[in-house]
Amino acid sequence: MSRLNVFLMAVLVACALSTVNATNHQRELFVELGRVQGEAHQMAQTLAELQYQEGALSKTTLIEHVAQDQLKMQPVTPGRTQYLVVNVAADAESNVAADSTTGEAVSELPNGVAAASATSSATSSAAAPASSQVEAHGNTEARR
Amino acid sequence: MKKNASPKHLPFSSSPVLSVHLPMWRSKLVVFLLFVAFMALAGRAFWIQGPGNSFYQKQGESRYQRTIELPATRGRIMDRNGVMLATSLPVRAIWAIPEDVPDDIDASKLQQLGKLLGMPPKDLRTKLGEEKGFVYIKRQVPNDVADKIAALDIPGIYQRTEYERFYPEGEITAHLVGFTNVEDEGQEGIELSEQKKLAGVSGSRRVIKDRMGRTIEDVDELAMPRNGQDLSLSLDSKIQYITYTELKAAVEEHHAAAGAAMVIDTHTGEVLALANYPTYNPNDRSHLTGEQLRNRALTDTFEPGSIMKPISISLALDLHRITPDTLVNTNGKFTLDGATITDDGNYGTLTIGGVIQKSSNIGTTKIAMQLRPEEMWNMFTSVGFGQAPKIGFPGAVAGRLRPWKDWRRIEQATMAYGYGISVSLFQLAHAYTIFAHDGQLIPVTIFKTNGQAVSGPQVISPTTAAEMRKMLENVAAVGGTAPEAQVPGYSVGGKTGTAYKSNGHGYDHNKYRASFVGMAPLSNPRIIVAVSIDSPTTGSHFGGSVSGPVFSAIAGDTLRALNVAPDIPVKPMVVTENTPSASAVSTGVIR
Repeated sequence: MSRLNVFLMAVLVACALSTVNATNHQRELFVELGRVQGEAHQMAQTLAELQYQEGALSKTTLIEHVAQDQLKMQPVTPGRTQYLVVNVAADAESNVAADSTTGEAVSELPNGVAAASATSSATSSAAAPASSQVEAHGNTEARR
Repeated sequence: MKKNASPKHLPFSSSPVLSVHLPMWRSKLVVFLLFVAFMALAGRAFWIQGPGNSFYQKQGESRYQRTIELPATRGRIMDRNGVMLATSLPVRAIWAIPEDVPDDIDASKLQQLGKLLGMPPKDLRTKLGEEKGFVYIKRQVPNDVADKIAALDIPGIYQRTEYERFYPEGEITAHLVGFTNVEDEGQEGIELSEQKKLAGVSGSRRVIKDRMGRTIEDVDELAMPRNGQDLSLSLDSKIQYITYTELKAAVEEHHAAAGAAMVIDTHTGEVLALANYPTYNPNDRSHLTGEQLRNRALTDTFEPGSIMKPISISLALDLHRITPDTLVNTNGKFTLDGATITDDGNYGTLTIGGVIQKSSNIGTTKIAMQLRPEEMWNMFTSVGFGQAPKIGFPGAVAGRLRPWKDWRRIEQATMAYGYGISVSLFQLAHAYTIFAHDGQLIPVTIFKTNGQAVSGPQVISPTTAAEMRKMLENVAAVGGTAPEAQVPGYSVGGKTGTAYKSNGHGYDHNKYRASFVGMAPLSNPRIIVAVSIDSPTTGSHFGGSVSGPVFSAIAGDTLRALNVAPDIPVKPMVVTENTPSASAVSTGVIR
């Protein structure tokens, strides 16, 4: 009888310790859950802020300002066809001159635009025959 | 040694004191009393543990349980393409318990706090000197500034997260979107009218915190916060921008007092743009005036002038009192009940189309005299005049349309050409949907729809609507009152309105309201554009010259933005490389 009592006592103590351990583990997990939920909330707020910034940067006012003032673009006029005279020799000279002052030229243009403009300029001048005419529909203007 | 017989030498057990027999009931009484006392203790213990434990439970809970508020965010407002027009971002409110702020606080810290909050130290000390348990020092402080304030570690100064509303499109959409106050409650525009949908419902959770302040367990069921509903407006931010910039340019060019313009999609009834000038920046409302706040397109009524003529004349056409080929003599002056009605010129005999094209008051009066007042009143009511538009926008006005029984003949005549009746620009644009939508008055909305074509009550027959469209096209043709309204590549039609302004004692013949309402492309109308410029003072004051070019610019850019194919040929134009700008070159169209 006494052996059974000792065994039952041991089982009881083990169960008690297990309960304490499980409760502790549950609380740790709960704290972790709270921390992760807090992070998720923080990320949601960051997302809202970034979406706001995206909205502010994609404002039509800003885009038009950049297009007209920095990229020197013009509004489309239906039916307007613009003929551009491209002189290869002059272009080559200007390209050489531009190459020597690339740093300055790039610094005047907005980020991401400099490379594209330089490429289109080089392409158009290489592809066009000497003193040929390039037809630009709408307001597509090959900048030289 | 002789034994002493005195009681002092008696053995203890034989002490006579002990030999006294106490009554049995006394001991039993003591035992009983002890029993009762223990029973009382047991009963009290049982009561405290069981049914009577609520007080102790509360006391205990207050020491380890906390209720955490779960804030809900206000819904966002977006345009039809998902571009954000209003959003809420987290900021902080800086508050204090003044009595907890030490009197001998470091002056440099207080100075830094004042600098960060943009408050003079004197104001700060006044706030901290208030005898209140709680005082807001400043609300809606940006998070980075709030972090710097927290780093100062001033006792008694606390922070709380709250939300601030931001409007990325700023003044361009200000009048329609509106704004909220510091408590995140709508004050104007959609923010006010849709407050219930936009406002979120905060949630809460009861938790147990350990001694480290960590949340370790939820107690009750979690009350989840319900975020406000996102709203999609029918506005297209690109078209809104186009409308606003063109309107602003016209108001500034003509040194006008104000202006309003709007664009309606005639297929879906959606308002694609609604702009007013002057306007305000909803992100900075420190110096607002009533002039800036007014959504003139919806809240200002005016006598529309000649824009009413197509509505009156279409009724006469629809009732077969006239046909498009009916000739009307507009020579000289026309006198009706002692009042003289004149035109801007002597136009001779005109067809009905000519009356519209030349905007003849005499011609319109003669046509209106063939209509009964009741018929005209019914027509005006059918197109929405005299009733506030049901678009769920605060402050939308009904205008003024007097009961027909009170009309005198001269009043009936003047109403036919737009005097004696007042309407808002929104009502005018809405009324013109009958011409664009084959005679149906379609419902107009400021919220995004599913894009399906809508239908409405048939006000005039499709034939009359088609005839009227042809007449309206002549207005924008050479010889009409608004050739400046032409759009290269698209057929357009509309009607000008140049009305004297009433000054309370009569009409001020030096103040005008120049308006134009038109549609394009006429082969299958897609948009209605309405423009009204209040009191232009520089250059011409006629609707065709002032509002016509605004219509042209808005309609052209809007149709291209909507990918609507041109329906008339464009005169080719060749320019040389050195041409500085397209605008400097004649396009073959009179502007």
